[in-house]
Amino acid sequence: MLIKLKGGRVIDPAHNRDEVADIYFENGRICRKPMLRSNADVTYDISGKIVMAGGVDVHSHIAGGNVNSARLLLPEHQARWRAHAMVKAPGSAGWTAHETGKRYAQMGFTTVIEPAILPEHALQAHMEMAEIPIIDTGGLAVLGNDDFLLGLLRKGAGKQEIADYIGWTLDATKCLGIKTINAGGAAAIKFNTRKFSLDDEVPMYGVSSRQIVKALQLAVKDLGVRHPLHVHCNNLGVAGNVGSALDTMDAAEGLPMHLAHIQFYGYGTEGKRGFSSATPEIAEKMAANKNVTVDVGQVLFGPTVTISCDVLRQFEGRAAASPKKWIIYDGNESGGGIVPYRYKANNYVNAIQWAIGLESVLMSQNLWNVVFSTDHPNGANFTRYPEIIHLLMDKDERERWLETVPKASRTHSHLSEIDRNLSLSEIAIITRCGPARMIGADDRGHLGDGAIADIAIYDDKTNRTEMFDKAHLVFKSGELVVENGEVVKYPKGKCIRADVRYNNNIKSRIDNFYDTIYGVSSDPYVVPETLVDDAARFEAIPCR
Amino acid sequence: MNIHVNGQETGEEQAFKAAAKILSNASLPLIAGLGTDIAGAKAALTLAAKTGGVVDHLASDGLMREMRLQSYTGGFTTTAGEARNRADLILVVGKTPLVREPDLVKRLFPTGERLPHPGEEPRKLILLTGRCEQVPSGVTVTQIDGTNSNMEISLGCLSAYVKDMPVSADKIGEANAAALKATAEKLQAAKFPIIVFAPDELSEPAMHCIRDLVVTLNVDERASSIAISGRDNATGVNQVCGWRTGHPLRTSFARGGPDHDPYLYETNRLLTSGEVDALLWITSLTKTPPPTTAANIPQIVLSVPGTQFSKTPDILIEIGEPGADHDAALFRPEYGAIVATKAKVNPPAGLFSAADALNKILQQISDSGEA
Repeated sequence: MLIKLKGGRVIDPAHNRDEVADIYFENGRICRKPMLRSNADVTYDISGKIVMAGGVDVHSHIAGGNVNSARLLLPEHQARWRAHAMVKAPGSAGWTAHETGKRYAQMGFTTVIEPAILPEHALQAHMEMAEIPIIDTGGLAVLGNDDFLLGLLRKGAGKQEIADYIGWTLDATKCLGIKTINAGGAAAIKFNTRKFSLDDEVPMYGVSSRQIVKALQLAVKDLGVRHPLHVHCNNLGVAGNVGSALDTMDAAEGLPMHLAHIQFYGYGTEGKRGFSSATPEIAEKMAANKNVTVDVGQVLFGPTVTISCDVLRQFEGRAAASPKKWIIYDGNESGGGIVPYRYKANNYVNAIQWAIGLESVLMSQNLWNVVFSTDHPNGANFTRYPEIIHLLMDKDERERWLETVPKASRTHSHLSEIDRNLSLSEIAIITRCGPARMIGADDRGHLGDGAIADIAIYDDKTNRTEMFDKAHLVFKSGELVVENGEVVKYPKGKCIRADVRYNNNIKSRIDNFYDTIYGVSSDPYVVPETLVDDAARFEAIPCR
Repeated sequence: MNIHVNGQETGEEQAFKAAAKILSNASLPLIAGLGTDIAGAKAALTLAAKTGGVVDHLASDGLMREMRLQSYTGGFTTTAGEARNRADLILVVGKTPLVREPDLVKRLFPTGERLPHPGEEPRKLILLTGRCEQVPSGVTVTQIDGTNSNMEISLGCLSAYVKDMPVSADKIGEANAAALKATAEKLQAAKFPIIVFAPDELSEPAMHCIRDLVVTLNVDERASSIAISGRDNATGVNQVCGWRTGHPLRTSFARGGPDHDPYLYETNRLLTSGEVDALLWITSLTKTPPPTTAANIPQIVLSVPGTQFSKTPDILIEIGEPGADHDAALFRPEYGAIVATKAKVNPPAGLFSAADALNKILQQISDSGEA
């Protein structure tokens, strides 16, 4: 069936387009206007409306054991999600897999990456993701605190052996890429180390965080995985930690690397409280290092919960839990910490954090390397993306928010001096094209011929919060899923994973490790696609 | 395959239709037992949402106490793998952990290689009321008596000793007090002590004391705890309930949205009070029949062959055992995660899985819950 979207304003920065034009799609893919057929089977007149590719989110904690533990820790958050729920389906409202798919779709997002899949818990994460309707998902497997890799590095294993292990992990976990989280830090806290930086060594292993990051970065590159190593740096959230981000960018040595939620590393030491915005240093470093991409990790004021495999950071952060309860999980390969937190507009530090997130985008010289995220739910719930888009597009809106924060926080951040407002094209870069490019999903994030027909159509409202909160129409793989802001259909999503090649000889060593060290077989941890869902759910992205 | 309606062998179509009718006609159906794999739990939750029912599990008592406590306080948890490799002291609270997992001590104290770990001292095992027949060599074992009836007091005193608070020995006796004080000192001296307990055996206050003392130990050193999970995949089924509803088991869909209450939606309370008027009982990991308190309401039972009933179920559908008769995802405590478990027979036995049977019932029920 040929579908025509007639007369909308097409915003597709991947093809330098911002023009009124028609879009055609058929069999789930965008196509050129057919030469022989004069009429489409269905035409939607969308004159005056904004057309973009479906949104792509590279860093949002939407599934897995840690997310589920957070749900069970915080029954009070259920009511909060229900208040946001706009469509009632029996038993679905609340902080659930179902609601996650529904809210993303309503906002016009169609691809979301869960950035922290613990390999031993990959099956659960996949089973949860399979129950998130409409949107496509993918996962990043977490390595870098696991004893097998640390053991390889300690004995000075060769590049090939490390790459084979990474390849096996990607294959076993059916993931799209690799993430490392405070590399070595979650291992070091097991020895009661409470502060850990790039050149600190994991006790008894004698392996530094830098060595772990470099080994993983090279292995991911050598395997040809499209998404570069996704790095959660050391010292997240610590005053004066900008050095950790800058040092890690230097450590990338010109090769591709993604730094997660950069806002949480943008902290200088100026001011009475020794806490200030260091965004200019990050922007400058990024301008000089085009191999480095980041996502923002925007903070918004209100109650949320921080969920992270950075056990060391969460352990230290538990003192600030609000309400005063937390879960710290020391897992085999890594673990997790769940610490509820309330960001307050009248709190100096929180106000600086809020400003830094926006600055990270507004001070960037190359928006293709900066993508949008709240590190959901760490900085804010993903359901609040429309508010952030509004802030980025409207200095007046920022002024309104700035009036509510402490004066000192305005002095020690740069936001109030910035006049830049992002255009719709620039919003499309940071929410569609950039993130799709970053994960190597060539047929996503744009509206070119052959792209997946994931399309969001918005009313062009001056109130950008309202505009992006509920799309006028959303098509997922060519199927109409949202109409007038309401979900009309709940198709199953797909899961994108890397199609990786490696030498399977590594398996006998992994098996032996599990047998001796944990006293169990490694096989049950391997995710069988058919147990998750229909095997057709998985779509492999070839490596380079 | 064995399918019975009112004790008579019958075709599957007739049985699934009859089951759908009972559930959709009920004012408040109870979908319980839930001794099943992840796929079975998913289908059961869909059925509960569609028919406005309640979900509970046959081994959820301890788990619900643990979940309620967790939602109030959180805590520190770890895996059997970390305990095996890194703990220099393991305190087993109560008798149930070693009854439920007889080879636990053997697994936690391997004779071979271990990962790098903190602490140089010989490893210690302390049993608070528990008994261990085979003590691993090279491990110092301390046995503390006391009875389960004063477990809250024992743990409360232990927690107080760990906090260096004054403790009166009146209630526990001099011998126990001395043993608990010595245990507290060992916990304080250890580099990574881990407390193993079974929520099935402990009250909420007892578990609260464990949580509290682990929190205290983490101020200066590291410490954690392991809860021995309930049988019949209780933990796995509870996880599904979490991502489906945002809540643990004992959740009702009678009012539209999911509504959790660990007291209100407990199987036996619902049955004895007469609030539920139909029961769907699933047991595929053990041969656990429905409670006798369900005798007066229509019963649909999905069970593994060989399950014995005190009252013939109105509808009986025999199903396979997950991870034996068919491939399954199950929470397995020795793995500390939901993992893939392959069928033991090849080709898989010709029995329905719980999910197959439940999905057949679901096909007979419209979105609005009508059969």
